[in-house]
Amino acid sequence: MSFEHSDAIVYLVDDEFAIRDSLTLLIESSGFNIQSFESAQEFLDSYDPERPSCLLLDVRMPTMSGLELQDELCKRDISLPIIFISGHAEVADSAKAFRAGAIDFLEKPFENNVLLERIEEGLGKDRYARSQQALRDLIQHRLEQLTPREMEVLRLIISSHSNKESAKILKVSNRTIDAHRARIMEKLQAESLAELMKMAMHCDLL
Amino acid sequence: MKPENNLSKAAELCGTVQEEEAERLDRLAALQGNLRAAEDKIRLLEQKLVEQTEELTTSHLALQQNIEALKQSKKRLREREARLNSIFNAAAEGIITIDRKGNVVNANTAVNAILGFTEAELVGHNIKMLMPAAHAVQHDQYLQNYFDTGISKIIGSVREVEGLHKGGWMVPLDLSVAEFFIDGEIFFTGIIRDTSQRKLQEQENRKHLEELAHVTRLGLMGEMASGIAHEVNQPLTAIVAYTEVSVNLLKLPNLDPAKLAGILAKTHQQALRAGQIIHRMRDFVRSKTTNRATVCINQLIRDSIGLCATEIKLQNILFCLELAEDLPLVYINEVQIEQVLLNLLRNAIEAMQDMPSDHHRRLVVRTQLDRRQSVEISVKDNGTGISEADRGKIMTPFYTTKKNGMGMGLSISRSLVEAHHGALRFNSQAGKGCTFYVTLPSKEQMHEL
Repeated sequence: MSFEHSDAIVYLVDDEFAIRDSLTLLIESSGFNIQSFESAQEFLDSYDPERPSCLLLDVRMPTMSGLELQDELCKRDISLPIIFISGHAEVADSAKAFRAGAIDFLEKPFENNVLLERIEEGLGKDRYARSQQALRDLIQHRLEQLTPREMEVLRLIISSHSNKESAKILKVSNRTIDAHRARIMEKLQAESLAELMKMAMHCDLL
Repeated sequence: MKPENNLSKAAELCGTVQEEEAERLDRLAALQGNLRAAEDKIRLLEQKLVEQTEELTTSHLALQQNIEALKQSKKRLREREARLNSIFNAAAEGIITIDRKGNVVNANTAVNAILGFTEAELVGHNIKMLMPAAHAVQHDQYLQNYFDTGISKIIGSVREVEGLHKGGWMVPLDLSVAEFFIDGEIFFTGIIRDTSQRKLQEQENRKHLEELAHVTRLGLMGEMASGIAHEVNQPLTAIVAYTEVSVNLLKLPNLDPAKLAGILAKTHQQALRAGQIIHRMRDFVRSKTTNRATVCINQLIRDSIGLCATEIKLQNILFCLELAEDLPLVYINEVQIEQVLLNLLRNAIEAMQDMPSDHHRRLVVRTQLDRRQSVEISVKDNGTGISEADRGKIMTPFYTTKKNGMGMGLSISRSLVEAHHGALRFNSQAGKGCTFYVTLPSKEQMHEL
């Protein structure tokens, strides 16, 4: 599995040396890349948005707590999956963490295989989110190639108007609509209407 | 008749007439003088009369003005009296006036509201009827002392006293007294304010504070427990991860013994650290030999009981204090031992809480010298007692038979007593109550240790 994770990285933030040291060894030996930090600030300074990642985060820390870091990431629009690890779980804390989208809230000491499963899940989520984003970026880029008129025709097609109806609405001939449609399919590199619809959905046109 | 004779006679006669005439004239003149004098007198009298009439008129006017002024001032007095009367009777404070013997002269309506007696029931009677017996017997003496020495403990200040209500119960009062004189006779006016509400409020506040203190103690214990949990979980987490890594390393085909040894050493270290944290917590409770002082244990017991007095009263507990005199002094940390006593007292009170209402709750706190000349404090209740099953466990941390208990009270108490080289034991039969014994070495014994 180490090949699969070659570019992905696990970030660990915990103020306790023994925790950083032992978990680093464990996570490394399980084939993940890991980078650990003593404080939330250190992590923020060296976080690499380009790499798929997930974050193992201690709740109780001096200066900035785990929950505060979660807030801060939210503010900076960084949406990486977070697994909280806590010395003693407070219901209120865990509820807050989950509401803000945490993957899990593990109470120390935890089963290592549960931790590794959650890391796997976290990285998977991040990779998926990143691929979705990449796809969105690609389609967005193609959409930008369309002329305003083509955009108009596209909106009619995806709202299930037939060529005939579209021609009527835009007061043009059926053949003109046919021509627009062909160019749209070409520019968006769509093989079928179904694919076109999927792309539209991805970019929230639907 | 001879002419000469006649002539002489005539002449004689003439002379006589002339004499008479002169005499008459003289008399007339005198009369006239008299008349003038009389007339003068009359004028004078008349003038006097006028003057007197004027004077009379003036004084009459003055009198009339006086009468008017008197009427006015009488009216003002009446108004003033009415005003004072309305204030007198509208006042929330009771106002009672007594004479030098202590007999009530008057009392306002508030007195009736506060103490239940009407003015008619009080006037003429001695003020002592409104005092609890202990004060009543001394009141004549108070008055006499004041007349003898001129020194009063109460005039000019406000005192907290108790008044005897017509119904027989006591009413807490604030009392202030003023004196005044009428025709050289002394009177005293007492103003009383019913402070039941305030007392009740104060009691509520005190109870609230005690509860707060209790909750804070529980909170602190909770905080401490969760603190320990958090700290111990750190090395445990590390140990779990290190051992997992070690197992993984052992599975690898080319085992690196040096690496494995390094990880095992770290594991070892973390396990030791967990132990140290536990020790530190125990030391925290135990080895606090600082802040110790020489203390009379009986006094400390009285203070602790004061803190539970409300609960004892509320639950209708018959409370007996059997403190041995001449006990040796102890050398202890007062706060810690008070904590132990409070804990035992509260346990005892709570153990009796669920007994049927016809059960006579009884709490006995006793001190005595035990066989080894140590001070023994016992706290005995006749509550639910401790079941045989619980007897072995109640001293262990986190074991509790209470709904909201932490299970730390007795275990901490025992640690605290043992830190003083003492012992905490108990004797109980289910259903018959329980007695806890705290033994503390005397100060002398402590020095020998």
